Formats: sequence, C-alpha cells, structure tokens
Amino acid sequence: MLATERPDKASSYLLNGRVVVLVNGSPYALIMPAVLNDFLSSPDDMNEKPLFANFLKFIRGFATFLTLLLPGLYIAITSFHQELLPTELLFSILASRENVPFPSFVEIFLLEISFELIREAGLRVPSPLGPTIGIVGALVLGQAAVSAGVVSPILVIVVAITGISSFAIPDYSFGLHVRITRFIFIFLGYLCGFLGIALGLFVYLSMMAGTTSFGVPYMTGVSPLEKVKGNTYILPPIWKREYRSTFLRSKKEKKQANISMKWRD
Amino acid sequence: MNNSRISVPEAISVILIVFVAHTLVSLPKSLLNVTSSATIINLLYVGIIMFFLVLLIVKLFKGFAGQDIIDISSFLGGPVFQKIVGMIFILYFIFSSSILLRNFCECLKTVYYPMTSLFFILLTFIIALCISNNFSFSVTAKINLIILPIIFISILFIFFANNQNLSFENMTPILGNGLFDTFVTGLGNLGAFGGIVFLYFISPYLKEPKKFKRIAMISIGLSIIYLIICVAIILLTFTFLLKVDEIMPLYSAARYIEFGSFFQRLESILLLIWIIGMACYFSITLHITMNIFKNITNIRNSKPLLVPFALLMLSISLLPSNYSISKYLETDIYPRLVIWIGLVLSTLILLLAYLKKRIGKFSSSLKNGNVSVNVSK
Repeated sequence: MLATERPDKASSYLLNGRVVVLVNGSPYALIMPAVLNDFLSSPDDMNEKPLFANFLKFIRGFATFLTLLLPGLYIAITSFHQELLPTELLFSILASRENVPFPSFVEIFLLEISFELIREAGLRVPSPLGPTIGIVGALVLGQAAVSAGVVSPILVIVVAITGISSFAIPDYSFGLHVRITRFIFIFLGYLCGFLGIALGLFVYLSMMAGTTSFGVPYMTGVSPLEKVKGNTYILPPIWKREYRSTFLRSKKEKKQANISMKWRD
Repeated sequence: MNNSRISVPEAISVILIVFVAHTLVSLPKSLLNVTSSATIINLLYVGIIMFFLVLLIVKLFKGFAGQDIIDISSFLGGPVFQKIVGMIFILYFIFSSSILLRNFCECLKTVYYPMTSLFFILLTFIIALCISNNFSFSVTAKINLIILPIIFISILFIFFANNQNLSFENMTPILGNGLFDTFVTGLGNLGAFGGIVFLYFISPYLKEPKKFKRIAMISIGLSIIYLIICVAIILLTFTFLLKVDEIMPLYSAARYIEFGSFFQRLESILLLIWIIGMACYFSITLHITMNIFKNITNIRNSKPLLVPFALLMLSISLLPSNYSISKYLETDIYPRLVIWIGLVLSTLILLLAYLKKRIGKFSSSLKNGNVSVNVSK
C-alpha cells in the first residue's frame, strides 16, 4: 500500500481507479494496489512536461540503485575486484586506507550507522537547532573522523552519495526498505564480492517479483511483461493519458474522451 | 500450477537461458575443439537440422497440448514407463546442472577466490537457490526475462568493444579440418542445443499452450544467432590452436576490452550480470526437476523436496575430484546426453505416442461404425 498525506495525490489515484482508505485519526490516506512504479513516481510528474518528468523518474531510479548497491559495490570492488578501478584511483584509495585500523566492512558499517543516527536525530531536533546539528554532525563525523584516521576520505564520499540518493526516493517507506536492505548487500559484498551481490540481487528480485499488492504483481510492467495502458515506468505525453492502468481491471478503462491532439482540428 | 503460468516471452527466455548458461562456461570452446575454424559454418548446418527437428517435435506435440513428456510417456507406456522416463530426466537435469555449477564455481575460484574453499562458493549458490525456489516457477521466469536481454547486450558489447582484437584470418581455413569433420563429425555439435530438452516440459506452464510452436521457433532461431555470436567472439579473438582461454572463454575475451586508460578490465561487471543468469538457470532446472518428481510420485506439495534436491545438486557437484574431470563431463559427456536423451529418446517417445494416438483414433472410428454399408435390394 502507498501512504500519502497529499490530497491531490490521493484524489489522482482515486480517479485512476485505485482504492483509497481513510482512517479516522490518521493523517495518511492508504492507496491500493501499489506497484513499484508508484513508489518511484511523484504527483508533480503529471504537471511537468513528459521529457522532464521521465528524466526525474530516471534520476529517482538511479538514486534507488545507488542507495541500495553503492556501499556494497564499493566494498566488493576494494576487497575482491580491484582491477575495475583505474590504477591512479586504486593507489589513492590504498594510500588513504593505510592509516585506518579497521577493515573496510567495519569502517563502512560505522559510517552508515552514524549517518542514520544523524538523520534520525535531525527529524526530532527543534527547528532552530536543526541546521546546526546537521553541520556539526557532518563536520564532526566526516572531517574529524578522517583526520583522526578512523575512516578513509573516499568512504565518506561513498556514504554521503548514498545518503543524498536516499533522500531522492519519493516514498518514505520505500526509502526505509532500501536503507535497511543495503546493509544486507554491504555484508554480501564483504563476504563474497560480486558473487554475493549478484546472488543477493537475484534473491531480492525474486522476492519483488513474487510480491503482489491485492492481487496485482508488484513489478507490473516489467514482469510480467505485458502491454500496460496508463501510467507505466515511462510517463506518456498528456494526449496519450486516456486510459486507466490495465492491471486495475476497472469497469471504465477509458478515463476521458479521445483527446489526441484535438487542437489540430 | 495456476499461478505458475508463464507468458510467451518468459517461455522463450526459459529455453534461451540454457544456451546462455552453457556458453558462459565452456560451450564455445568445446564447439571449436570439434570443428575448429569451420565452427560458424557448422553451427549454421546443425542449426538448420535442429530447426527441422524442432518443427517435427512441435508437430508431434500437437495432439498433446498442455502436457509435458512425462504425461505423454504415461499415455504411451503406463505408469511404469512414466516413472522410468521421469527418473531418466531427473538424473539428466541434476547431472547437467550439478556439473555446470561445479565448472562455473571452479572458474570463479580460479579468477577471484583462489584462497576460498570450493565448497563455500557452491554453498553460496545453493543457499540462494533454496531461498528463491520457495517462490513459484513464474517468478524465476520473470527474473529470467529481465536478466536475459541484459546478458545478450553484454555479449554484443564484448563483440563490438573487442573489434580491434578481432582477426578474421582466424576463420581460415574456411572448412576447418575438412568436409568430413565439419559436416559428419560436426553433427556432435547438436549437443549444444540442450535448451530443446526444456521444450518438452514447458507446455504445462504456458498461459497460451496454442503458442507452443511460436515459442519453439523463436527460441531455436535466437539460440542459433546467440551461439554464432559467442563462437565468433572466441574464434576471432583467439586462434583455435592455442589453449589460452580454458577458463570461461567469453570472460577471457572481455579482459581485452579497454576504453582509454580509465575504463579497463570491465569483465567483473559482466560477471555480476552473468552470475544472476546462471542462478536463474539453476533455479529453473531445480523447479522442473521437483515438478517431474512430484508428477511421477503423485505427491501434492513439492516444496519440502527443495532442500533435499538442492543438497543432491551440491553433493553431485562435489563428486569430481578435480577440475579436469568435471570439465570432461561438461564438454564430452553432457553433449552426448543431450543428443541421446534430449533428441533421440524424446523424439522416439513423441513419435510412438503420436502413432498410438493416431491408431487409437482410427480404431475408435471403426468401432463406432463409421463404415458405409451398401444394402442392395
């Protein structure tokens, strides 16, 4: 299910044929069924030109990929697949890791947990103190830790990119899920390198493909591969948005009359 | 079974993944060892033979829509024959997937994990299979459909990115070791089409069994193109005379790709994608094996069989004492099994069942009195 506080998002999904549940006392509207595409979409996409909206969707998808896999890939590459890196970068990473006493897994785990702590603390800190805590946290945990030789600078960059990417995920609960799952990939990357990450991805994709949301496959559009009318992974131009999504099996599949370029008449 | 139905693209991808899995390990090299520089011509030749064979198989399957070869053998010879055929195919699938798993893990160990025990690499695969096979067959088919185009793109990437290293002189002499070796001995390369065996079991899983012919034809066409591209990469990059590419020849070819001084040695990224493809193949094989066992033993739920079969796969993959033995099993024994079990035995069963059905129809039409009688006054 998708949870939203935005009335425009809830009404848009309602008009598209979804079911919306409002619970007394809860600020959230629950939208069902919810597929993967919904968790990567923003309600503002409908108001943008399709080219811009699709570009932003691609950025969000890439951000999800980075949040999930970047730390795991970093640890796999530095531990098992060093040949992937250009030689100068490899020397730079090795030099920066010379004085770090911990193995890369402990290093990355410490930084990731610290980042999660700062993020969670930032949610509950009163507004006047919020930016200060963020700056102090970043400075203390980033710069000071590097100066003290607790972590390497390249890892601070990796964790920072991962953190920023996680903020680009539109849905909070999907972002939480990705943030938790990346620890599994960090462990798999440390344990077996690309073998662990590949098998982890295989199991993860199997779980996603096996999940259904009120009878609708979670990865509809990609698997099962079928022509889905309506809003899919690529947002069509406004004159093509005449149909509700096929997987909803709605009574009226057509949302509105044929609006394909009527201005040409 | 109702929620395990797969669509036409998924069915095609299930058959193609067999070719992909074997080509990633050692199939191109074993083809080149038989027919040397004439392998591409030989592949076109055996491809045409296989095309007509598949046409025959589709024709024989027409009377048995929605049934697999185990059901057909039950129709042909009763429950006993069904169980014999079922056990033969179970042993075939377990053997082929175990040996391929062993070879692939040996290659991974050689390249990336020299200090790791082989058992742990095998165990990693088995654990992943045990988790993913808890879902239905259609889930694995969906993942397969996602990953297969990416693998195809990676193979094409190796071909085009390696264009500086391709040497078309390696295709000479055009007829390789001679006409006899290319067109008679080269018939052994029919063993490369192991994906055909999956064709016999795919029918009950289809959402639209009527599209079986389309699935078969498209699969065989794409597999021929794919095999030719893979062999072309190896043949044109390495001369068939030198044994420099014994460990995953496509991986070895990918090592030569470089773009400037900063994008080199990209084969690890390709390997990440290929590992997912291999996991898909093993998962599909395990599903089909469990389903065959479920059918021949008439059990209701095959889920408890998952761990025993996975452990059986692990045990058989540990049986060869070294890489040479497992490579011999993969390159010499497996193609012969494909020919004898996958082509000869299966076609024979289909043919006999088809004839039995036709004779049965004819004799029932006689019994029903569809014979005209002339009454003269």
